[in-house]
Amino acid sequence: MNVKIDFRNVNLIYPILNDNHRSLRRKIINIFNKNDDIKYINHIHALKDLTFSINPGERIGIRGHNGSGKTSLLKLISGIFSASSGNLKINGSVSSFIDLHFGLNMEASGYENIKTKLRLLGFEKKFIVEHIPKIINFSELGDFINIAVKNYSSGMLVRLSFSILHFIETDICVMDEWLGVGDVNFQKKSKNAVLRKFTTNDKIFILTSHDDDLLNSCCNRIITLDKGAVIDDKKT
Amino acid sequence: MDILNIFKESSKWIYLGYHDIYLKYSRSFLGPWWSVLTVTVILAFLSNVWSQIFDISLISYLPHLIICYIFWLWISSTLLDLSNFIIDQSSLISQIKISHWVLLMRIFFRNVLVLMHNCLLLIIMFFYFKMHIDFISFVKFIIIFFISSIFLISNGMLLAILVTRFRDFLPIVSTVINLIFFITPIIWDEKILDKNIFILDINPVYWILNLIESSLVERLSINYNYLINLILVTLISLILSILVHKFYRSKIIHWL
Repeated sequence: MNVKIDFRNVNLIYPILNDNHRSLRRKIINIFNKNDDIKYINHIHALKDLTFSINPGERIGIRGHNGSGKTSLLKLISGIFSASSGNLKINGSVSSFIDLHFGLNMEASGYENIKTKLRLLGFEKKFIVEHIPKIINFSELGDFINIAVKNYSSGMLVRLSFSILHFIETDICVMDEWLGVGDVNFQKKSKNAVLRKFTTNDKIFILTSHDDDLLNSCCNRIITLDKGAVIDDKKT
Repeated sequence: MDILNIFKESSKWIYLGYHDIYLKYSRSFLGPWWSVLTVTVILAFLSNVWSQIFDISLISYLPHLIICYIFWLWISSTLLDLSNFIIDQSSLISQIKISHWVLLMRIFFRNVLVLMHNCLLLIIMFFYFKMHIDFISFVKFIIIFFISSIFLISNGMLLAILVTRFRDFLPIVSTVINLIFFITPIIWDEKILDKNIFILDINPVYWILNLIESSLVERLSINYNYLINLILVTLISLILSILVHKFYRSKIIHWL
């Protein structure tokens, strides 16, 4: 199977619901209300008519201002959002690390969180048993792995989450403004690990960031978004 | 069909449901047996007080109360938890691609585990009252339990979609569940209703409790009208929940 992401006139529009829209009582009252302003639901056109392809071997950097649609694009690729119109084809398995704390239970230990996170990502017991020592070793958390995650510093949380990601084999990996966090040594280690893993001809890596230097050093293609539309797409 | 993920990803929801219980009680000495102890104390008080109020002997009242109360706890907590499962797990739903049905089953399985602990009281009851259950009755119980589970799962999904869309719907669900407790013969005997027994004929929770009780207690016979009603209602709610979820699946994420 050829790993590929193909956007054809993809749009993403979603509603912004306020307290009135979320109330069943209000909904029933509004049936008899002639004021259309109350009934009206605002919609955001988050991604506009996107048409481009991502081929294997490409490491895509996505830049743009806050609200330009970077995270929405990643969520679309990850399958969290569905396109409102257009055609989006994704060939290959996707791992999404959009939020650092996804699936973490702050009361559970780092060890338990590794197991739970891998289970959430669909891995079976055999894979988990095989990979836990490697993940713990890579994270360099030592004995901290057995204490509750709520006691971790933000840097330790990054180590834990990144180490799990590092051992997941997928064709496509999406990350949201993520690599530039943690201490300097771990930043360097994680960046090298990602580049080693995704500098191949058969995988796709997508990273959003405001840090142009990071994007230029990690990626071989930069897509710039503005108000949900692609305004620049260049290879580096 | 998204619902098929229940079978494809069964190991995921079994692990997550078990892990939820494990974490919830990991710091307590008795673990999940705390909840069994709580139920035992409640049943001890209820049985003494209500058997006197209704002037029924404790021996004939206690089996009915134990069976109905334990399964009522399962039904009510499952329905309430399932109603809120999308909002409860919204951080997961908005970060990774994961089937809503798998997350629903996580909560359902968690409640089944609690029920299994509470079933210790049923075992004690069987020994204490020298009750017998033959293999056929046990199979009937398993079938009724399976149908009831599908009933709860499908209605749980429908309620969860409504609760996610309309946030003021959860208190309504909670109130209705409380109301059902009072109109269902759990702590009182159905014979009290006399001619007004028709209100039980339209109460699916009563059908479930009645069928479970009659499959477990030797002297009672299964009411096949209730069984047919339950199967029909379960089928309708299952089809409806699959269709409604399919229609709203992509929209749910934007309601969170």
